[in-house]
Parts: sequence; C-alpha cells; structure tokens
Amino acid sequence: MSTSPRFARRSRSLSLWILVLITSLIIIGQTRFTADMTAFLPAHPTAEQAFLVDQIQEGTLSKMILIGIDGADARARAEASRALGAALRQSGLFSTVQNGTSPALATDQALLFNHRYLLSPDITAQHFLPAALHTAIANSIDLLASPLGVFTRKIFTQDPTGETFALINHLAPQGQNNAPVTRDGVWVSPDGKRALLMLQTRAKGADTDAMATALAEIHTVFAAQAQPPAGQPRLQLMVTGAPVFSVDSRRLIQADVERFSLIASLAIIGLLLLVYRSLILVILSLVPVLTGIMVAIAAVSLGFGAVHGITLGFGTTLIGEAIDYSIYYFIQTRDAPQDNATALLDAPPSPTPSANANVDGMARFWPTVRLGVLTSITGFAALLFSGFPGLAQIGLYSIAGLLTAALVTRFVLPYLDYSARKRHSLAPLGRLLAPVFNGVRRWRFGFALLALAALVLLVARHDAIWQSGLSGLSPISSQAKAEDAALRADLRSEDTRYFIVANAQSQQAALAAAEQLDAALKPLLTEGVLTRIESPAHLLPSLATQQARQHALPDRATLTQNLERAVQGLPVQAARLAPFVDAIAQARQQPLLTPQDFAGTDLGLALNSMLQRQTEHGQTHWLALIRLHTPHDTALNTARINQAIQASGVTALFIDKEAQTTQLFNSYLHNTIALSLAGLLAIIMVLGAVLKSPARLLRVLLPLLIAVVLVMAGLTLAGERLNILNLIGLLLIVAIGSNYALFFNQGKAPDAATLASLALANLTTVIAFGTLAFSDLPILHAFGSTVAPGAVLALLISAAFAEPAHAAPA
Amino acid sequence: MRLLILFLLSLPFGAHAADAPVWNAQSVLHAIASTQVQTVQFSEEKFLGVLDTPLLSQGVLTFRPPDGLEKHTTAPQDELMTLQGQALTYTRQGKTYQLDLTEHPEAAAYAVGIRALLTGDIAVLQRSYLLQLSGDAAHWSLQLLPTDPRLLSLIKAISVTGSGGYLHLIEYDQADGDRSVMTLAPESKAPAAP
Repeated sequence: MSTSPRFARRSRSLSLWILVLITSLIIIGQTRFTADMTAFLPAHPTAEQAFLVDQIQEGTLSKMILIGIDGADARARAEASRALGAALRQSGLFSTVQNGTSPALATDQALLFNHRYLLSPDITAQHFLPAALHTAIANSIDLLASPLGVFTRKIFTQDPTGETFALINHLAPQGQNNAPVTRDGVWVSPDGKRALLMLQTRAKGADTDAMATALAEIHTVFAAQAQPPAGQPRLQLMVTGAPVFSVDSRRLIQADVERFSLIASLAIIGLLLLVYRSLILVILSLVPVLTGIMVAIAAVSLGFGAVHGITLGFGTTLIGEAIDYSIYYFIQTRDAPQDNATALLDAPPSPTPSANANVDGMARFWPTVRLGVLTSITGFAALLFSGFPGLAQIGLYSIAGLLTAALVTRFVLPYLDYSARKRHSLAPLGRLLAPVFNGVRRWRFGFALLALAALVLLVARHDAIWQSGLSGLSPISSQAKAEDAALRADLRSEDTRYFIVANAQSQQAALAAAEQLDAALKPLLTEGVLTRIESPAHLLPSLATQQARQHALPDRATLTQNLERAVQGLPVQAARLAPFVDAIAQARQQPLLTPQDFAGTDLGLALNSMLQRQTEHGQTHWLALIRLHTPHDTALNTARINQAIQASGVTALFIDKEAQTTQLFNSYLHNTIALSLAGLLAIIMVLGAVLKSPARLLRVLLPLLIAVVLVMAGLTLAGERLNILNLIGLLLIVAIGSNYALFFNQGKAPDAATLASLALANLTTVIAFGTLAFSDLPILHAFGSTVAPGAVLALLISAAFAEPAHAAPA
Repeated sequence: MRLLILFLLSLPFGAHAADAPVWNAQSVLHAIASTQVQTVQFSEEKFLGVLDTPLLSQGVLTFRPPDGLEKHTTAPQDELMTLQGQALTYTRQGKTYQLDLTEHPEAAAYAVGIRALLTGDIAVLQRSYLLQLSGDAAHWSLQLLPTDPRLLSLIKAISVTGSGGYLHLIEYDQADGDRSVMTLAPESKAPAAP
C-alpha cells in the first residue's frame, strides 16, 4: 500500500503544500504592512509629478505634526505648551519642536545678525558711499522713534544702516501674517483660545511605524506632564498632520479589515455548516482559501517589499471567490456518476470508492473551474502593468491567491478528503432551485431592456460617473480633515501652490541657479504679480555672492571717512558709531556662511526644505526649491513665470501643485480604466480561444457585461461617484461571474448539484462582499457595494441567457 | 460744542472738591474719562541716548471706543500707529508691520499706558502703577510709578500734568535714560477758562 503511486503522489502533494505554507508563514512574519496613500501614486511619473510625489512621500509636510491645546485658561494652556515642548525636545524623536519658546529663536536671530553683511541683498560698494550711508542712517533714526524702535535701539550703533531689519523683512516680510501669534510666550491661535505647537519628526513620513511611535510619545507626555493637577479644569489635546493621517488610516483599515473578515468568515462558516452538516467538511473547504491568502500575502511581500492595508482588505473579498472552488468541488463531486471516470488523475487504481467518486467529479467540474480561474487571472494580470504600486499589488495578490486556491482544491483537497461518503446530497436543494433558474429565463428581454436603459443613463451622465482625486479613497473622516485645516489656519501655515525647482550637480550650483532665478523673478515682485519669493539663496547665498559682498565692504579708513561726511545734518556723531566701523572690519575677514552654521536652528530646517540633496542610482544631485507667493492666492500667469525662467538661463521646472495634482489623478484614473479594459479584452480572448464558438462566447460574456452596466448605473443612481476600487470591483464581477456563466454553458444545462453549488457559491460571495459594503471606509465600501449586487446579477443573468437546449433536470 | 458742555458740567464737581477732601487720582481720572475727548493734537520730543538732539514729531491722537487708539504722525514723516486690543499695527513708507503687544512688553508699557491715560482707565493704571497726585483740580500733576519689577526694568516713571479733565503733557522716562515728552491739545479749540 505504502508504495502505491497514488500514495506517492499524495505524499508529494501534501509535503509540497506544507512546504509552501511554512515558507509563506516565514515570509509573512517578516512582512511590513503600510497604509499610506502614496502607494496609489505613480511609480514612473513625469519630472513634475516625480517632484510632487517625492514631496508628498518625503517632504516637510509628510513629517509635520500640528498640536493644539484647548480648555482651562490661557495660563494653564501656556504652561502645558511649555512642558510638552520641553519634554518632546528631550525625546529625540523630533528634529524640531516649535511653540514660540524655541531656544532656536535666539540662535536664529544671532545667526542673521552676525552674518548680516554677507546675507543682506543691499550690500554693494555704493551702499557705503557718504550719500547712501546718510540716507540709510537717517532711515534708521526714524525707526528708532517708531514703535519698531524697541527692536532697533539695541543694535543701532552696530547696525546704523539697518541691515538686520532689512534682512528680516526680506526673509519674512511683516504684515503678511506668516508667523503664528504669540501670547504669554507661546504660540496661540489668533483668538488666543488655543495653544499651538508645530513638530517635525526625525524619521521619514513614509515610515508609519516611526510615526506611530512619535504620536504615542506626544500623547504619553501630554497625559503625564502637561495636564494640570487633578481637580483643575482638564486640557484637551488635538494632534493632526500627515503622520496622524497615515497612522489613523492604517489603524482604521486594519480594524475594518479584521472586523469584516471575521464577520464574513463566521457567516460563511455558519452557512457551510448548515449546508454540509459536517465540521470537517467546512474546515476542509477553508483550506484552499487560507492557503491562497497566505501565499498571496507572501507573494506581495516578496514582490513589493511591503503589503498595503488596502491589499489586505482585498483579501477579505478573496475569501468570497476562492471558497467557491471548494464548494464546486465538494458538491459537484458528491453526486458524480460512476460511469463518468476519466484519466484526470492519471487514472490510479482507486483505493476507495469515494476517492473514485472524487476523481469522476473532478473530471466534470475541473475544466470549468480551470477556465474560470484562467479568466480571473487574465483580468487581474492587467493590473500588474499598472504604474501605481497599489494596484499592481492587488493584481499580484489576486493572481497568487486565486491560483493557489484553485491548485490546492485540485491537487491537495482530494487527498485530504476522507469523508466523501458522509457528504449528504444537495441535489434536492438544486431541484428546488431549478424552477427559479428556469423562471428567470423569462426575464431575459427585461434584463436586455434594463441594460439598454442603464447604458443610456451612463452615457448621459458620463461626466459625473467617476470621482476625481485620491481624497475619495482616504479613510480619514471629514471631521479630522476639518480639524487639520483649523490648526493649519491657526498656525498660519499655508501650503504653497507654486514652485520652481532647479536641479544641479552640486550644492553651490543649486544656490547659483536659485540666485539667477531670483534675479529674473524680481521684476514680477515689483509689478505685484508675486508678493514674495522664498529662495534657499536668501538664507544661504552662494559662496561667490558672499565673497562679492565681502569685497564690497570698505576698509576701516575709507568707512571712517565716509561716515564723517554721512552723519552731517543727522543728530548722531560718527564717534558714536564706532561699533559699526568695528563690525564692518570684522565682516571683511569673517568666514563665509556654510550649511554647517545652520545646524540646530529653525532657519536650518527652512533651508533644508528648500535645498535638498537627492541620491539617485548612486549619484548625488541637489534640488533648489523656490516658493512663489501670489497676492491673495490668485491664479498665477504661468507664461510670465516660464518667461522669467527662460530669461534666467537656468533649466528649471515650474510646478503648479494644484494643476499637477489634478493631472496626476486624471492620468491615474485613465490609466486604471485602460488597464481594466485591457483586462476585459484579455478575458474575452481567453474565453474565445477556449470556447471556440462566437455564439457561446457571447452567451458567456453578455450576462457579465449586462451585470457590470447595471451595477454602474445603480451606483450612479444611488449618488455614488465611482473610484478606482469600484473599477476593480467591476473587473471582479466579470472574474467571478465568468464561473457562473461557464457552468451554464457547458454544452448542457447544469444538473441539480451544480445549481446548488452555484447558489451556495453565490451566497458566500454576497456575504463576503456584502459585509464590506457596510464599512465606513470608502475603499472597502466601494468593493462591497460593487461586487455583492454584481455577483447576484451575474448569476441571475447568466441563468437567464443560459443555453436553452435542455430542459431542467428531472 | 459738546466738549464745552461736558467741560462745564464737570466744573461743579471740581468746585465741590475744594470743600470735601475726596479729590484724588481717581477723581482726576474720572474727570478725564468724562470729558470723552476723542481727538487731540500732539507734538512729541524724543530724547535718545545715542542721538545728540531730540527727535521731533507731531500729529493727531484719536481714541476709538472701546479700546482703539490711533496715533497719526503727520510730520516729519507720515506714519500711522493703531492699537486695537493687544494688536499694534504700524504703517510707514507703504509698509505695514504688526506687533502683538503681549510679545513686546516695552511697546506694551508705552502704548497701553497712553491709552489708559487718555481714556482715564484707572483700573488698568492701578494694576501696574502706583499713582501719586499733587496740585489741585485746576493744575494737577500725576506721577505713575511702576510696581511690577518687570515694568520697572523698562520704565522709570510716567509724569502727567493737566487741568480738570484735560491732559496737557505726558512725560515718559525709560529706565535706560531715554525719554519722551508729549504735549497735547484737543483738536477743537480748547474752551475758555471760566
């Protein structure tokens, strides 16, 4: 016995299966799970998109956390802000913690003051001639008498020409409200009712685990050190920003995936128990599904380095499709007639009658299921070519999962199945259902008419079918988005819409390019087309520019002479301004400003966000990023900017974030629609090649297309805008439905057992997807609300259009 | 005309004060408050340590109830400073600067003090200063001495002279030796002394 070929095949199949299971488990154990929406950004974008995607993934905004403290009184809030700020600075998790008390503020001011003659754009040789000095000093004296005198008075004798004041105005013009309001020494909202902090994490924003750690630290520190003692009014903490969104997304997706997987699994198991009346059978029927899911996760992990939460969400729905294979197997092989034996399993000498029955049934159901699996895989293969890693993941996941489930059903399940004899027949159930499936044939013209009406509706509303933008996919609630917007407004932290990006081989070349662009853009500032230009060269001029400024500074003798003449007619004596003469003498020998001088300052953070080092294929290059501000956020005349860029002689990209984002999302949608159509076409070709009859192909295909059109029209009528995941859902309707359609077109009408298995398979699919439709998360809801009704329609319409050759089985 | 009537109405109060010993800083400030003068002309001299000669300026002060104060300097340069609550806005040579007074105690000590004096807001003044009154209702002199140590490091004293409900002179002595003297005259013609 132990040497029989069947036993050998059995042990080979089982050990291979166990090996695959163990390997998958090991890979899954080391898998990283992500949930950031950037997986749904293109992998091979245009230069402009590449910049945008990079900023979304790695830019300052991806690491920025905003905190608001509400409640109690202003003093308690200020104290909490100070305590929280100090503790978070100590934690080492953040590259900056700003709340108005930042020690970096004084360092920043000192840095600007000490390097004013290298930084100020006004420094030329003419600037120190008597007439120019006279005007500059007279201006500073006017300032002394003004409310601003409180700042300029302390440094007047060192800086009588007002370079520091000019520099600060140049970097952060007053009156533009670009700094948060400070009260009681900490940042507050304009109405003073909320204390504010702004943090940046050290880790990259794409590292969701690190973001979760940073956020947990904030909450722990706040509860432990910032809350006033018991008995006093409590403070409320508000934390928002991209890191919060990515952590919350992951948590929400995981929670819903777990919850709905559990509900759907329990419902399906309950249903199967009811029908099979055998626990062992239920467990056995789950084997292909579970193996499929594990192999699918492992495959995605190997292929992409990480598994996205949305892909896992998709796994729930895979249960609904893959369980069908074992249902077909168990039900259709139960009532297999003996005389139908074939050589499917190389016709081994059957050890038991039940195994024989399995083999016989296998011959009937396997070719149909094989074709169904083939069409499904063909459809999903199109997604593999998607430029969006998220969609490619779903494609790979589905292919690996379905293929594994089918193979396990075919090659492992028969060897595990000892209990065939105990299976009770579902033929009676099938016979009960037969009139329903037959009756539905009378509705075929009704379905056709309905489909035509739906087509008319879809054509009429073709502009309003699809949702634009990624925001529709985000699991973040509108309340959380509103909180984020409120804190951003309080902090006056605006999102810049227009950028110019220059790419250079070295840091100095990038700075020089920024300076050339700055010079070319300056006329637009005077004209009022732009209100402000933010350039890295304003903070760190190129070495050449710094040297030129240093050379423009007069020597001690010349300056003393010029100063004597300059102060004539002014209420100040030249001798009083000796510190100024000393400062210039010192500046002439001062070491030039380098990026290292900015270490640990907030100005350094601003500089890093505008002057970025990039490494690509082992080569380092530098990006200079220039931000353009327009009056009251009016749309910018892009032609003027492009002219200025051309005039500067620098090769640079002008980026309109809004236009690029819209373009990005549109290309994203079109790409996915094109891929889905390609998938559909591939399915048609496969079916055509196998069925070898245009009439049969049409009979299989038409019901599926009608189901798709009806679902699209139904969702549109329900006021839903379809997104990318609805689209994948439509592809799934074709993939799942093709199994039903094929069973109805096997050349003869399906027997009672097949009808019963189809009904059961359909019910499990509806359960799996139907539960997802109740999720609040747009992605899961989109899958569920598309596939659940689609699967029912596909079955009914397939039955309606089934081959009429034979009457219902007796 | 309204100012004149108000001034006349305030007279019996002052006359009565000679009999009863209740004439004090509070009644002076009450008199100032009840004149409800909203616009006065000013000329200011600023003596700064780094400068040899004082800086001269003149213009109009306007009080906009409940807590708005506008200082419009017309010479030597046109400048506008408005104080609304704790927000100070300053416009000069077409550029506008905004200061939050809670961030700048030096600017706050000056601006808020002036506003409280012009409106006779005794509560605000007594919170930060010790008030010393000398003279009589017709020619009084009020000394404001900071009680808050932080304020004391900025301001030595504010001296005000006036008659009845009118301010004539505000002298502002900073701790660093700089000082300013502001002479005030109501925009409309001052009423003739009775």
